[in-house]
Amino acid sequence: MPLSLENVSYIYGERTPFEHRALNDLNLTFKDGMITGLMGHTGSGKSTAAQMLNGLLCPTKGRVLLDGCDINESKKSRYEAKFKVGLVFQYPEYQLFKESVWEDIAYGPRNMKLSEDEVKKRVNEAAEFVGLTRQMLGKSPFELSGGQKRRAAIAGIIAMKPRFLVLDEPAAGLDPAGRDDILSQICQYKNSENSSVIIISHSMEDMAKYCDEIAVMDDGALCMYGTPDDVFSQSKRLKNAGLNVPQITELMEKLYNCGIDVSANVYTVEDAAEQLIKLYGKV
Amino acid sequence: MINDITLGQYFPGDSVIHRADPRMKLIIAFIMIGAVFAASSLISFAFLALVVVLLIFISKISPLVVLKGMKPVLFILFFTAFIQVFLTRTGTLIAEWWIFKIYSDGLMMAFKMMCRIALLVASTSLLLSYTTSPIALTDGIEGLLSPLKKLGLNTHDFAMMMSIAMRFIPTIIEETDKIMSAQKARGTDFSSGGLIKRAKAMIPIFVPLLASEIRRADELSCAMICRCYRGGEGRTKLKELKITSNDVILLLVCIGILALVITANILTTHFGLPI
Amino acid sequence: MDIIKIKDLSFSYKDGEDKLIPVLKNIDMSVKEGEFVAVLGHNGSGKSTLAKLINMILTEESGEFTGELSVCGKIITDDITEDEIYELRRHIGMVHQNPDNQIVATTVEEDVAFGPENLGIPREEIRKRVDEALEDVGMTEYMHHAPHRLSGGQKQRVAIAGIIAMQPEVIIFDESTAMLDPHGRREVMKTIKELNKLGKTILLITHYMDEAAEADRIIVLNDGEIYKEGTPQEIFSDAEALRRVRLDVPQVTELFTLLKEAGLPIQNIPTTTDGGAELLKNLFVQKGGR
Repeated sequence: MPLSLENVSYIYGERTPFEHRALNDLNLTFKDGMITGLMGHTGSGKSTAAQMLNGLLCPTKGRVLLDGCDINESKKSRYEAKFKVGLVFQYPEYQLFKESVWEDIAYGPRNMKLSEDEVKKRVNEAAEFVGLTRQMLGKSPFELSGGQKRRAAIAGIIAMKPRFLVLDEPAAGLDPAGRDDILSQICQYKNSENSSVIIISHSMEDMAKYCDEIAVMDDGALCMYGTPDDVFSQSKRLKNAGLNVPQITELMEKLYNCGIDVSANVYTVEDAAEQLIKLYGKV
Repeated sequence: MINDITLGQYFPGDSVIHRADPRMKLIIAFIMIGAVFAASSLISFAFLALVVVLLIFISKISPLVVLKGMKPVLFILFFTAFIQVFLTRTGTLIAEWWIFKIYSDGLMMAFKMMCRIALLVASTSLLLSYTTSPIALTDGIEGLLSPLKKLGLNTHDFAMMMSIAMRFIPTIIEETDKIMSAQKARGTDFSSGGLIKRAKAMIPIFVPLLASEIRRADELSCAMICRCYRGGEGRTKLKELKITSNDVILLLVCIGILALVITANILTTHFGLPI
Repeated sequence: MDIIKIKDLSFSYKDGEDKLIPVLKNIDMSVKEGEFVAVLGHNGSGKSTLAKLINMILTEESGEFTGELSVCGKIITDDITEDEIYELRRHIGMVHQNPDNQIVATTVEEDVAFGPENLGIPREEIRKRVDEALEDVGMTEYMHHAPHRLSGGQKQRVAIAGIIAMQPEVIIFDESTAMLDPHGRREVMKTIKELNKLGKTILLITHYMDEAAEADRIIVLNDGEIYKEGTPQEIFSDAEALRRVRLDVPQVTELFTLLKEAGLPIQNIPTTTDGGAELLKNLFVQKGGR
């Protein structure tokens, strides 16, 4: 069953001098069993939208539907939405607080009032997904390296086995190999658990590589939606939405502006190479 | 977003009061406090009320803002008034119900007490919090405390600490908000259960916050060292406090008001003038 | 002239009870005056430690080091006085990673003034420097703003202005773009390039390939050792070697490697979009003309 935002508006600090409309009649549906990328420039409302999905924020107007039910219907449904939709914040390593990594990962599942056996099973599974060794699990979270802390924090959410896993910039600040590691582990998790994933990121290269569908937000509303091919081939619209286009697209655009007959709607190295080689043969 | 509300005290502007030297404003605020406590006759309260109206007028702060600023002290205001009304047993009896008796003196004293508190809050917030930025305020405090340097107190360190605290209040509030949201997303329940359960729910906030602030302090001190910070010695300042003729006039006006209030008191109490 | 010179430098952190953890091993490197050098390396490769050593933040209490370090023509020895260290720090400014944790004051202009104030510079001169520095980073209109109201990129630009106002010869950027969004990164990179044009020596520590590609020279660190050193072209020509040390190459470089393999007459593989566009344009014009 999909997770959807229906005519959602949200205003921060309503009726104060600092009133700010973060979401503006947003309609967006996240499909089951997919990795959906959520993009938008800083301040486009994507982080606010993410906090709507698990009931952390309550829409000023509109509804958030999971399995067709409004998650904000009652206090209880709003609380339980946290376990159905797992949200990993940006730089989640700062939320670790237990005396051991194992205990920290177990914190979410314990709040779900699961049996101790089930907690144990889930923690070990989650740790395996993110590549934490047994030895690391016994350590204090403050002894781990930055990248390991990040993994531990993500495992803490995965262990709740949410139907939808929402991650805000999961690879921020990591080196190229670290980025690939984390993102491909998330992919693996999705495939084996048959859950759905929503990734918020600025990196078009990563999104193109890992996402099935892409949603682009601008000004608190949805402005583009489709497969990576659909979305990334419209470089002009992406730029208008305040997004950076990949280096390759930028290069092709520069050539196009010099009067060379190439298309700027290319975003992978392979496609660009093919186009340029073909063109070179023709000249 | 919460940080906007908590630091929404200062209203930037360019009035004579905004521009006045913060040290002078602090001194004047003390004089005003003295005047408010010295005032005992209705005429002296009228004087002070006039001063507050003038302050509002000059600083261009909306009177509504000043009234809203009264909200937190409203309870104290009415509580003291209530006590005054029912505990004073002198003057003429006006009304009586069960064990409660209201006398004319009680009403009068309650009224004066309410005036006193309201004037106190209005004048200090107009002089200080509404028209003086936190940084100017710390500079003012440092300036006033500087004679203590001779006694071996390190006033510079104190002022630097205050100003760093001011700088980081919004940042730390934001951080707390972020950590709270992150823990809520893991099922921490801050709003239900008894006192102990709620206190326990704070651990997931305090531990990461503490860890984060320690790291922040570490990084900040490193950044300060990199920028050649080594305490107050040999340090110059971009903005040196300077007393202008404007400040002197303000101070004289204020002393004048205090003098008037005291005279009014003497006239009423010693010479038995009616008000 | 070499403004930074490092010879056979090793450093180990002290971890509690006399346990030493080696972070840097036998580093040999130098940076010339006016040069733009990027230090590239994966998370935990020791690149930030290197920056801290150059700026003399790490002392004997934090670890043990051997080898030779000289900054601005002065060899750093054990008996260096605190005054001398302060004097040297004036010449090497450092911009850190977290934009929030390096802004001290409650308004932008007062923060930029912080460094010059510490140096005891006369007030009129501070005013002049603050105005110029804010102008250089394009933040003049935010002079009276509170720092917490600015975006990440703007905060970093304020931090940079605070360093420029001290008029250092070298500015070290210690992963200063790592916490920024793409827009903020672009703002900061643009500022860095402009500063280099103004004659400042730049040492840019990063793990973003496209940023390193802008430098004159790249030093690649891996597990505390210098892995490779050369111009961006030289470094990025061997993608496999970089991937082995958890790094990557810019997309443009990848594209031109493919084009070269397909037989297009390309000698030097470009590393930036500008260089790439220029090269392709010439290529097409040449062939079309023939």
